[in-house]
Amino acid sequence: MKNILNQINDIPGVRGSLVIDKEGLVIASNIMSGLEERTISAMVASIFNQVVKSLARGQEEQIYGVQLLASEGNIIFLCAQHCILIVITETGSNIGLVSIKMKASLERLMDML
Amino acid sequence: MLSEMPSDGVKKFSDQVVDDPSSLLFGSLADFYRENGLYQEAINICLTGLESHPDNIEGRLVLAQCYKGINDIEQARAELTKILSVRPENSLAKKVLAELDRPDHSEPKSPEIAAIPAGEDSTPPEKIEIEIPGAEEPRAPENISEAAIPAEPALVDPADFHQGAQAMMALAAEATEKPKMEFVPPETAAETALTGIPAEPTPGKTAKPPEEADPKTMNAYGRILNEIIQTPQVFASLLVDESGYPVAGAFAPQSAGVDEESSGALSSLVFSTASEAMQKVKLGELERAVIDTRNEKIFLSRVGGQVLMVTAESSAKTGLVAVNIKRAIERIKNLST
Repeated sequence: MKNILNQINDIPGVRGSLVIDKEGLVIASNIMSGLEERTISAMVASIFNQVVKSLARGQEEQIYGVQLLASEGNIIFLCAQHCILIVITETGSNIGLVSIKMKASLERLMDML
Repeated sequence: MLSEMPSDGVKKFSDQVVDDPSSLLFGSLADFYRENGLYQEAINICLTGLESHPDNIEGRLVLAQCYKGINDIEQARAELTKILSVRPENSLAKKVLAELDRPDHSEPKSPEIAAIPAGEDSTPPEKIEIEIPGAEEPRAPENISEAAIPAEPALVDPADFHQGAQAMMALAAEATEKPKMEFVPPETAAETALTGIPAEPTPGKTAKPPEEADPKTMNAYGRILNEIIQTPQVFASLLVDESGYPVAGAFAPQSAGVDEESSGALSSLVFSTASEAMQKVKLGELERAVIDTRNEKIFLSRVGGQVLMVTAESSAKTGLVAVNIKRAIERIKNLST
């Protein structure tokens, strides 16, 4: 799992990546200093649950992923059945490349879990 | 009746509609006339406005209510059917249609009112008359107008707490000359407290532009949002203010079923939650959020203090939509400045 995260982190502009469960508990992480993995995981789980609650309106709605683009960095997360893969990038990084890599990595993670 | 209206406001509305027959304000003006019993004038305004905006739900709804007001049930039914064919979830249209099915075409009595989902009863409470058993005559405060005191009060089940409370609130509001107060049934209050989301705003009312907004600016917003939905696979664009109320919106025909009020409120809520989270992890101010789901892609973008929500099919090209949104944001910002 660490290897998968390391490969994501090799992309220029990526500041860290982590895998969490849907409750916000960290399964694996590899992030640069200055970023608080617990805060990030809790926030992402909170946003994920908020989005699910808002979109579902009584129906089962499947969230594939969310991109949050802010002035000083981005958080991208992809959702699988049991886990969420999160990547934190700098502003101006190649979001397309990161997304492709994340999709491939998520498939590998799902096989592992 | 008309003399009692705030003439400045009516004149402003009228002038706007006359100057620009394609103005989206025609629904609001017609509704104003309708509320004051001037049905024929309201119908004329709606018919003229709908020539330019045949998809304007608010205008069509007012037209249906006017037809109902003059007892032209068939026309009212036809208009409501048109609305429901496009927006099957429009609760006000369903309610008015249900009223047409009643023998006296009146509004449903209290048990049915209670059955209406929270926040969907947009009809202003008509004069509510109650008689309290045991009391000789209802005593009204001195400054309540004679019109508010029923000459022959209709009997209402005293056990019906909701209606009684609603009547008391209406009387109290008139007595104190404060803006109209509304009785919130316990279900609504509980729902609001639980979810933190206010009950759905009144259909047809919240879509109106804020009072202080320049109507021409509002038209320009509409044009910009309309251009966004010209992007392939984009089916809705909605500008929402800080509190989650829609400011302006444009919807492609395939967006039938999208409820702008709830979508706007929920988008605003999601964006503010995400924005707060980004600040907590010290990544600055959230500019854009893209939510990718099985059925659709939702783009939420900050436009000053407002949020622009754009919904597209799940297969839509994110890059293309994002570019068009960026252009639209710049134009909206230019308008605001």
